[in-house]
This record gives sequence, structure tokens and C-alpha cells, in this order.
Amino acid sequence: MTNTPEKRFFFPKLVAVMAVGVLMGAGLCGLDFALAAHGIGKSTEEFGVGPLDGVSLAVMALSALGLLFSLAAWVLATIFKSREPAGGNNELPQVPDDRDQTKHDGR
Amino acid sequence: MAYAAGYAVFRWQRGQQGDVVDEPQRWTVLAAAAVGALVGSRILGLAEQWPTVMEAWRSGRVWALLLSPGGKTIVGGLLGGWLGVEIVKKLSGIKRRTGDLFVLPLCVGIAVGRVGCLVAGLADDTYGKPTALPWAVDLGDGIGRHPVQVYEILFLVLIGILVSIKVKLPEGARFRFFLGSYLAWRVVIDFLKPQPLIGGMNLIQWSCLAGILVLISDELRLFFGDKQKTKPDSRR
Repeated sequence: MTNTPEKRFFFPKLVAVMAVGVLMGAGLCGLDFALAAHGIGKSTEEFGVGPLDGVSLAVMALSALGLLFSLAAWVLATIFKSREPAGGNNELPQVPDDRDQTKHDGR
Repeated sequence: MAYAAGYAVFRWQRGQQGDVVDEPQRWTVLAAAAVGALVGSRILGLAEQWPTVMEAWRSGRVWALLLSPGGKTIVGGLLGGWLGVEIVKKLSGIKRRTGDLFVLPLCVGIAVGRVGCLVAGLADDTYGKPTALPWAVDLGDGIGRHPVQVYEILFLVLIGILVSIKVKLPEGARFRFFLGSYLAWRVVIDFLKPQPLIGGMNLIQWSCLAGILVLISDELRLFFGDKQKTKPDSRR
């Protein structure tokens, strides 16, 4: 795994977009309410269904799934990156050196 | 529209002023802020609607409630985003204060969002208490109410102007000023909203107070921490 800047901030970008996607999906209710205020859709009862509720639900569910996957991928990528030897320019994976770790631990 | 407006202002401002962190670090902070804001706004939003949550629990419609749109709050988003950024900054070793660039975008984003709240009317649950003032608005029920959304937009315009004044301030001071002012504003303005009260204030107001206390204790810790650091230097 190489450490090009693009790769380093690909996951944070994806996570941010997905999180905003969920927030936007949840925020679509505002449009629903605005439509309802003009007599379009949305019943007055609690959990009433409006014309944009389907879109809202789809956006929320898809971006929530995307968020979970991208968060998991980001965490895994960070863990793998932290296990890479210092320098990070080698294309070939290297076996971690136990002696180096004991040095850092101060044993 | 609120998110798009906020992001557009963020990009414009970053292009004008530059940034204290590099691009990957900025995206890490943005991701932490977005996830924190999502979690915080949803948790506080659902907690705020606890009678509805209890009703959904009793009728076995918890999933309907969790997946239903709405049920999020700005205060929860701000506090959650702030917490998320602080955690991720600690984990990834980012030492710089990164919040200043978010202030103007937040002012614009929240103001645009409040226009939506006003248009949505009574269903949005952000309306004000009845009043006989000449600028009262009728949201469809024939009762004149405080236009609390307009009050908030005006407040955000004022904050936006204040933070845009070109004065040399310590890094992060603008964000802390914005956060403290907004939380204090919400403690005051929410007295004009008909919300269920716990101990004389609603849940949002209590959360704002908690946020203000954390902000003050953090400032005091930094202030006295800085003083202790500078003491040995002054003896030399």
C-alpha cells in the first residue's frame, strides 16, 4: 500500500459525504412539511407518510449503509497503515521486526 | 440547500484565507465533524421528542421512529461534531485548532436551515410561543407567534459579521466565540418555544448549558496551562 496523498484522504472524504447524505435524507422532512403546509401529501397523524418520505428513507438507508462500510474500511486502512514499516515507500509488504518493537516498548 | 450553502462558503473562505492544516488532515476533521454531528443531532433530537419515543416504544414502532426523517437538532449536531473532532484530533495527533474555518459556513448553513424551519411551519416543532407583538407570524393555526426562526437568522447574521472582522485573534478563538454565543443564545431563545420542560428548561437548553460549562472549563484549563508553561521562561 502506498501513501499517496489521494489515498490518505480518500476514506475521510467518503465518510464525510456519507454522513452528510444521512443528515440530508433526514432533513428532507422539512420539504415534506413545507409541501404539507400547502395541502400536498403528509397526513396529520404521527408517522404520517408524505410524498418525499420514500426518497428520504432511501437516501437515509443507502448513505447509512455506505457510512458504515466506509467507516469500517477507514479504520481497517488506518490499522494496516500503522503496521507498515516506517518510510512507507516500498511497494512490497515487509515483515514487522519484533526487535524494533521491543526497543520502542523500552523493555 | 443549507449544507450546500455552508460547504460553498467553507470552500470560498478556505481559498481566501488558507488553512492551518493540510488537505488530508482537513478531510479527517471534516469527516469527524460530520459523523459526530450526525450522531449528536439524532441522539438529542430523539431525546427531545421523548414522549413520541415512549409512544413508539409502547406501540412497537421503534424502527419507524429511528428511520423516520426529522428528529435532529442543531445543538446536538454542534456538540456532537465538536466532540467528534476533538476525539479524532487526539487520535490522529492533530495539534492545531481547526474550528475557525467552520464558523462562517455554520452561520450560513444554520440560517438557510432556519428559513426551511419557518416555511415548514407548525409541523417542524421549532415555532415560537403566542404573542401579540406586531411582527407575530401566523403559521396556519390562526395564532400569532414569535418568529423565533427569524430572530435566529438575525442573530446569526450578527455573529457572521462579528467573526468576519479582520482582527488578529488566537487560533480557535473565533470558533469558541461562535459556539459559546450560539449555545447561550439557544438557552435564552428557547424560553420563547413551547417545549416540554424538565426543571424549568427544555432538554436543548440543558444541553447548551452543559456545552457552555465544558467550553468554560476547557478555556480555564488552557489559560492556566499556558500560564504555568510561561512561568519558567519568565525566570530566565
